[in-house]
Amino acid sequence: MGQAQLTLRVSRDVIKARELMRKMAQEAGFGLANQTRLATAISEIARNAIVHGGGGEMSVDLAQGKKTITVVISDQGPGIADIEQAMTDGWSSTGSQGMGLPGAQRIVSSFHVESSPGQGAAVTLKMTE
Amino acid sequence: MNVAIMRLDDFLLVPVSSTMDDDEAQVFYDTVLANVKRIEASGLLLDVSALPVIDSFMSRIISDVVSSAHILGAKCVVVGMRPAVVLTLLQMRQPIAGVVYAASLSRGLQKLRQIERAEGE
Amino acid sequence: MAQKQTSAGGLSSAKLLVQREQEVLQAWMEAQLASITLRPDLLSETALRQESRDFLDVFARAIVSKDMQDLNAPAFEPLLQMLGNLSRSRAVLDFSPSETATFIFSLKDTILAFLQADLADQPAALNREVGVINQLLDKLGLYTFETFAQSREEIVNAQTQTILELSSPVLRLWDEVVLMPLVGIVDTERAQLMLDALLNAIAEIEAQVAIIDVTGVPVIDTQVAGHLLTAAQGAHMLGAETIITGVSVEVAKTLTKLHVRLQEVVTRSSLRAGLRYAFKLLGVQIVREEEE
Repeated sequence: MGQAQLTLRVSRDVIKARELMRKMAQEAGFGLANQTRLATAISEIARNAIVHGGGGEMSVDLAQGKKTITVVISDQGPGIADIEQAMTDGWSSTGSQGMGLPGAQRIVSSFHVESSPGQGAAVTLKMTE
Repeated sequence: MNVAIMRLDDFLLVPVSSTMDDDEAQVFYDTVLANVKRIEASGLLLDVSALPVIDSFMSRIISDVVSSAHILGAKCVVVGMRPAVVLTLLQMRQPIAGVVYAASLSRGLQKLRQIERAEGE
Repeated sequence: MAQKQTSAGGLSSAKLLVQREQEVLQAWMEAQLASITLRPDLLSETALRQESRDFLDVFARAIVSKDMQDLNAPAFEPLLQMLGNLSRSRAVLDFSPSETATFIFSLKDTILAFLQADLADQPAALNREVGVINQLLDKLGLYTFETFAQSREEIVNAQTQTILELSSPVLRLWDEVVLMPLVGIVDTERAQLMLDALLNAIAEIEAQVAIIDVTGVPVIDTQVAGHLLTAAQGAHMLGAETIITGVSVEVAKTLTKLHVRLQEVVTRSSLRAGLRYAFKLLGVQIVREEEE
């Protein structure tokens, strides 16, 4: 299972995304700690795409050597006006906990956000065992 | 969605399901509180041992349930956090504060009884 | 003219190795066996002879190529690979660097001796050959050395990793008490691994108390204190209270100076004091037996 795609539309899809990631990481031989980190980060980003981005797509790629998983979650929503602000704790546009981005960034190997107002958002994250 | 709530005298034991999505979480919250009120529960054991992942949303739900149940008069203990989950929450710098925890149901019961004794109830 | 000279250099050596391989091998073996760097305890004569013979084969084929100065040339690849494997295995067997390098340098001396004998009446040709052989074998000697050093480093790293893992095991000190004695420097990566071990141990025995002893930690700065606090938070989320023991006077002064208040966590200067506190928490009493 080197690649996978998932459409993110309803809140049920957050759970699907999370479980898909856990399974892929497990099959790739990742330890329990990293499986959990990856699934948790994906849970945050996938929820953002659905709640704030109006729905999106997730694509997963497992590198040849099986040591790195790359995930891209993109949406066509309103985009993030101030990425820097979104990456600080406690920031929120809708009064909820915050977009979960800073927390997710801390637990993965690499994390990259690309977005501008009206252009949607794409989050690329990598986890290396 | 069925919320499986068990009663042990004045305590309620509520397991959190790993398949609960964001929408169901709202129903969960309301159902638990309704039950706390209904039996005038003095204690609530929230069992999260089935959760392989706890993200910021679930953290919020847990925190809210504990907070509201407490206001309704029920002391709460969150039981069964998985070590990998704790590790992740710590690394995200999002530990769930202001909550009493226990590693298992039996430990949780012990703690609830200790708390009751301490309060002289 | 210069081009011709370069390609002519080395041809004599190549011919030498092809036509008189047995003689060269014998002389080379004698040189190695006579050397003070010989390690018969680590490598038998039979094994050494086999290695030398194999090496000469590959070497002879490699130097037939036109350019003997460029080790990156494809003709040298099999030779470099063999040499790499050889020095790696020497590193594992615990040879010293010079003992390993002797393999190449004794070959150089041997070949030079043959050349000097064969080309005694052709000083110009001898000069060329000697120049080429010297340069080539010195480069190979260096390559051996480098691969050796790299292998050594890899071995030490692996051993360090093992030591680190073994040095902070989590022990069950009492029915509901786990103990993690910390030894050595605690960096971010190690802190994560240790936290993982600690949390798993607490969950497994449903510990009520986690004692982290820091007697063996040389430096406790703001960062390490942060790791300790995080550990306490984690233990709390599994229903255990944390006690930090083994805090020295120096550490107490440093933390005070850095304005680090370990308020959320109980600290004691010795493991004994920490254990006493743990027993109090658990409601455990130790009673000395009456003496008759």
